[in-house]
Amino acid sequence: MTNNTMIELQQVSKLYEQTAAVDAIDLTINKGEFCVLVGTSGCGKSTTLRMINRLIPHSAGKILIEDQEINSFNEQTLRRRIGYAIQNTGLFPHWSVERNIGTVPRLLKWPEKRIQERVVELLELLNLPYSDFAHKYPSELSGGQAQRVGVARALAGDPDILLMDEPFGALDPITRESLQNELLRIQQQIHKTIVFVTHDMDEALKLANHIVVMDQGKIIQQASPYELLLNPATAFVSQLLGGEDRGLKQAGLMKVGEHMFAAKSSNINNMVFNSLGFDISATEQLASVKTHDSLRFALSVMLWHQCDMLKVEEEQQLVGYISLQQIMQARPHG
Amino acid sequence: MGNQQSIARFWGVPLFWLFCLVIATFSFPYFEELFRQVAPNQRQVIYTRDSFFALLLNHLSLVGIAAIISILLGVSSAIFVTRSYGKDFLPLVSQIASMGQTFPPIAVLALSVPLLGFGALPTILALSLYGLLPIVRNTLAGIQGVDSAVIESARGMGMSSFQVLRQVELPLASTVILSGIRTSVTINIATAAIGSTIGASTLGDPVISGLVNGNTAYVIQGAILIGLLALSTDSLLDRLQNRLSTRR
Repeated sequence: MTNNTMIELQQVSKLYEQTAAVDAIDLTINKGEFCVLVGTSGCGKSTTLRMINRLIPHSAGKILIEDQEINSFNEQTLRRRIGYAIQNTGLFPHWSVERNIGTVPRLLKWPEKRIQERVVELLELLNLPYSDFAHKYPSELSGGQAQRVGVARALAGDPDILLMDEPFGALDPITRESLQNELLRIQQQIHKTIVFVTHDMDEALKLANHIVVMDQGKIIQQASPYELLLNPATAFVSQLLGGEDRGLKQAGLMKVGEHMFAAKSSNINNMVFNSLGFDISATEQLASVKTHDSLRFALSVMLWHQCDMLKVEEEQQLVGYISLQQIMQARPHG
Repeated sequence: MGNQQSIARFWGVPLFWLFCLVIATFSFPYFEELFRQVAPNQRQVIYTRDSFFALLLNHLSLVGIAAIISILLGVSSAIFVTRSYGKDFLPLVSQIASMGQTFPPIAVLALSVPLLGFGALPTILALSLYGLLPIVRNTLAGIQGVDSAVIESARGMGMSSFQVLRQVELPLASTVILSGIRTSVTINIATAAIGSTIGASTLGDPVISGLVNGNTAYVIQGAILIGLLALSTDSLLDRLQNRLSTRR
């Protein structure tokens, strides 16, 4: 165990009567890591998550947070140090957004002024203007807004660890995607250790830098998203990855910006185009994508426009080109 | 509800019934001619053994004391059986509470006389037992009706069990609990009148005395006051309930 470890599970089990919901798992989660537990319903992923903040007591093994056994903490003290967000938000319907977000700071007895500053800061982080949202009640929010507030509330006490139990599971695909992007953006700013539970492999691949696949209370495989796609350990894992759909999923992880060829002077462009057997005069009409779009998205644009070459633009400025051949040859460098 | 006009409109109904109650309490003697039409053969048509005001106060304090007892007992036992350490008693408590309702109040009165004698005490006992059910039932429903995701996130954020109860469960259950209290008190305002049969002094006195002597005017006077009192209390509690539920 190095001092880079935030959470460590050693031979942890949870028994209900005689059946093991979680069966002697070992798991190490490093500081600043985005760890996603993924699996089908009843595989023990939620149970594992909730054992970390002791909402469910573990039956055997050891759970350590920064080298300290979690049972050595007072239950409430432990939970106030760990952010917690769940699927149905669990917002308090009788409290305003501001009061909801201030829950943990208030439990930690922060001074009133600091709590208010923290609420302002978090609402801003989650793109919810203070003047519009602070005094609303949860029933006045849309699903996506409520979940943003849920995330803000989980972050309020400035915890080192954030536990998220299918937080975006009940949202429509568009809202879910925008919240996933927000979460990635926020994580780049705050560098928390996040443990995230989902049954959606696409979500796991998109968010995680450490994926833990669970089945029947056991860990089947843990790896980075690329490694998981390249070398699924068992038939179950490749089934979760969607079988032959894997190619598209992998393309979904790679960015256009990493695989395009950058636009240079027109001479060089000409040479490249010629070598690709492409007519330079046609570039004006090309459809365009952006550098942070995925190769999967670029492929879809090509299919739609029935072409094999796209312009890459950033803020209306041409920055490069990407061809079908490049997409097919692209390999992750992860 | 910022300005005075809307406050008046909000509390208008209970204020109206209260006003009628006060007027009726003090003005019956002035309507002697009217009551004589109802009971032409009676020598006296206005009940004078006690003042209506004294009867009203007595009636109210019996119901009030009984209500305090049933609220304390009902709410706390419902809280107890919804805790993890008390849930074995949940079926027992809900059974006792519903049995209480099937028991006619007059039977409780009759049974408590040998224990507590005549007067106010057995009446208070009967009223508090009788008023217990709606309170227990609604407190149970209110607490059990709180979304489990809300409780889980409260615990997950590090609230102690007491904080969860005090800051989350009770406030969220409060409208349902208050509606139980409202039912209980309103029923007991009517039931308290029966206390007059065992010597408690209530607004039932004129009714009982009127029935015994065949004096319809007495019966009407008691009944009007009991009715107005029930309407005032019920609408007052209704407004309180409304106030609580629009707060979220």
